[in-house]
Amino acid sequence: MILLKFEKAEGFCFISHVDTLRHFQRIFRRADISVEYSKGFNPHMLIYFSSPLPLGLASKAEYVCVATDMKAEEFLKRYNDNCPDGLKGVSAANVDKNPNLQANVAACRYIFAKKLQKKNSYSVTYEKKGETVTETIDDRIYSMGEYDAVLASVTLRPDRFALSCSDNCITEIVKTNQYLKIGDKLVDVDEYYGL
Amino acid sequence: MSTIDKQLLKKLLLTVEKPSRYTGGEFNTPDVTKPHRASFCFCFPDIYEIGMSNLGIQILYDVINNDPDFVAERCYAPWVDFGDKLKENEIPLFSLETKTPLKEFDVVGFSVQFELLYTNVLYMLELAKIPFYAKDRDESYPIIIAGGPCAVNPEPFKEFFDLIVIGEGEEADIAVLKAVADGKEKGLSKKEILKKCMEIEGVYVPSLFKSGDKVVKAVVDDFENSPFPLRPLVPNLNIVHDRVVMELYRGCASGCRFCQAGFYYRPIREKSASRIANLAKSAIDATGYEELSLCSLSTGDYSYLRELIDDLKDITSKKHVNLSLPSLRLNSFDSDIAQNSRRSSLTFAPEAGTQRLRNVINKNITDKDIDNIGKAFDAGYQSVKLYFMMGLPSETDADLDGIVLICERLKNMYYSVKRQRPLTISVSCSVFIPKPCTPFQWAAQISIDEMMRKQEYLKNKLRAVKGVKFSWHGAESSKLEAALARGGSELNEVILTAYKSGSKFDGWTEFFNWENWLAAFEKCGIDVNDYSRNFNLDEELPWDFIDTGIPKTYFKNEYLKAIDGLPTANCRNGCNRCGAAKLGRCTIL
Ligand code: SF4
Repeated sequence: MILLKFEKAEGFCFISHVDTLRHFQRIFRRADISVEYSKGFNPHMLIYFSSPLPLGLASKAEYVCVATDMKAEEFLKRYNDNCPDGLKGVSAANVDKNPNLQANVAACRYIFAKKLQKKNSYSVTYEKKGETVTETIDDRIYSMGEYDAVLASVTLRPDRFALSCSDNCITEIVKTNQYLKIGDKLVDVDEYYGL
Repeated sequence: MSTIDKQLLKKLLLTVEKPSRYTGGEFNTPDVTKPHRASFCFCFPDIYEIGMSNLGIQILYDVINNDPDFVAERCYAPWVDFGDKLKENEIPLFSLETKTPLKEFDVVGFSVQFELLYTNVLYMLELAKIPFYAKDRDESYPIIIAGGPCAVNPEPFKEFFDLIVIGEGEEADIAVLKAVADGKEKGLSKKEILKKCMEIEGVYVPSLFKSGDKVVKAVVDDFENSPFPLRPLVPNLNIVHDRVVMELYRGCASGCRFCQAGFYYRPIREKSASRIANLAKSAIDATGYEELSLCSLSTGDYSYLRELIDDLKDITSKKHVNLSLPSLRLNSFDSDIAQNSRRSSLTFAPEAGTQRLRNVINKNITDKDIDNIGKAFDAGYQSVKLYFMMGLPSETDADLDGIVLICERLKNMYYSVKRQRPLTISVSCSVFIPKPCTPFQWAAQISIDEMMRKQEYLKNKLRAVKGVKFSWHGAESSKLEAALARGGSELNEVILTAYKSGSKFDGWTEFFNWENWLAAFEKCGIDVNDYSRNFNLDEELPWDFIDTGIPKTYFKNEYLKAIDGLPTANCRNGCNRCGAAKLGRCTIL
């Protein structure tokens, strides 16, 4: 299996997860990278993504695990020769099994175009099923600087966080790292998998 | 060249539906920033998903970008949400690739595929901050041109364009760009450039045209070797025809009397099976598409279909590519060809319910051919889509009854053998629209009341046949389509009036506003029903100045034969001397 780190840049941050998946299937077909298919009535390519990005958010650290026996180096070269500019491959590594990053990534780092304000406590307000919800999010902020923050994955959207302490909109935020929680430490996915 | 404020644009994109329609960056996008003598922007007056599916545009885009001297970019009509945002923020409509305002290109070319898109041309011009009428645009504006099937009668929209390409654009577009580049380098005025362009085959310059002149349709001579994109663009979101599409031939040998494309794209020119297979292979390799479709007016008639399918089998099975064959003609249907196409549903277009009426329209399909569908049932198909037209010349209720009979016959055939699943038949009915460059260009269109009555009649009759779904096409929009297709220059004002009072995306039922159109016609003192009448065989028609190769006398003769219920044989059985061959050889002979 291959773990590929790729970027979602420029206009591609506006491409939905479903369309991104379709792009990947076509990239692999163009690149002649043979990917295993699921068994069953409706076979599909066995590829596993890290958590989908909300529309408008760009990223320098997206991951996808691909069921193929190709060597990482060859894979990355073929991938990059066949991908659109907005989905460039950064690095690739051979892994034994699907690291299930969708479930295992605990936190992500983001950078923000506009300065973040220091506060004693942060809270977000959003609509949920027609109702306005306000929540304190301090326990979901791992660390923050003037222009960057490490936030809990999935449970805290960076654009909502940004609104609590700045006027960055989602297109002014870029995801830069994803972390696993090993013991009580955050370890960069790149470091853990040698990417 | 100036470009758009990217940060602002991103913010706006967050607020609209499907923002990836507007971002560009598709895989296989050519280098549109190379040094060039002239720049072109293709404008497609419908949304990305439809425009990106258009093969003609893909071909022309490829032709221009492969020329070392020129670059071409694209622009599709923004959906209304994004259109409103552009207006609010005073952002001029821009190209997809480099986000350059349309106004800054040397040539802006609209592809007009369908009469109900005319208002969208105005919508895009307005968003681009370009005046509607050619006469109101000074030297600072690009040369605005049009092409596509609607150019067969350009009179209704000619005042919006500096130049209109009639016929096929592959060679004409490049020649126009050359003239523009030369003119620019020599410092010629727009008028002088347009004058030069008039020498190009297929070019019509409305402002310089003298009555009595003729414009000869442009035709690609060597279709076998004519350019075809080896690296088609791969769209960023799911489009209507999200697959590799291969063009097998141009023109059509059937001669159905209502069909504009069938006559307009004559002479009939086929590509060889080996070339098509090679092109398909490179397009599949370059795109990674999982589906391949063969497209032509009557794909099943292609001379080398069997050979081609054999050639393609190799490619498609190796790469797990689905081969789909759209709308086969009934009489060329063959069960093992059907088996090669992994579609779950068969599509057929008998167009009329009785043999009598099929003779009138020259749809060369017999009841025996319909029985052929039985073979498809045996091959495992359990769903059939049937296309018919309503309101054809001489049609009576007995012809509509014939549609019901066909459905019953198919059902009987299906259930004559024990089958596991029930058969579903869907019947889709459109309204006959008389179109220029067809034998029926003189024929009347039925009134809206009559359309409604026939629809009710058929709906009730079909209700009695279990398992049949019935759908049908708008009456009012068909009325408008007929008017815009057969009208003259008086319609320019009507179209602008309708646009200004809110009409756009007229091809979309949710936007089509008949009242608004009626008001526009009335304001201009024109009766829309005047375009539905039986045209007199001797009257002068707005498109008479266009030489499509096929003279009026041929169409007239075909029309008279129709009235007598006499069919004309398929050209594959021998040339019918329509005249198109004077513009290039029909390769099927
Ligand atoms: S020239 Fe003859 S073969 Fe060619 S389209 Fe006309 S009638 Fe058919």
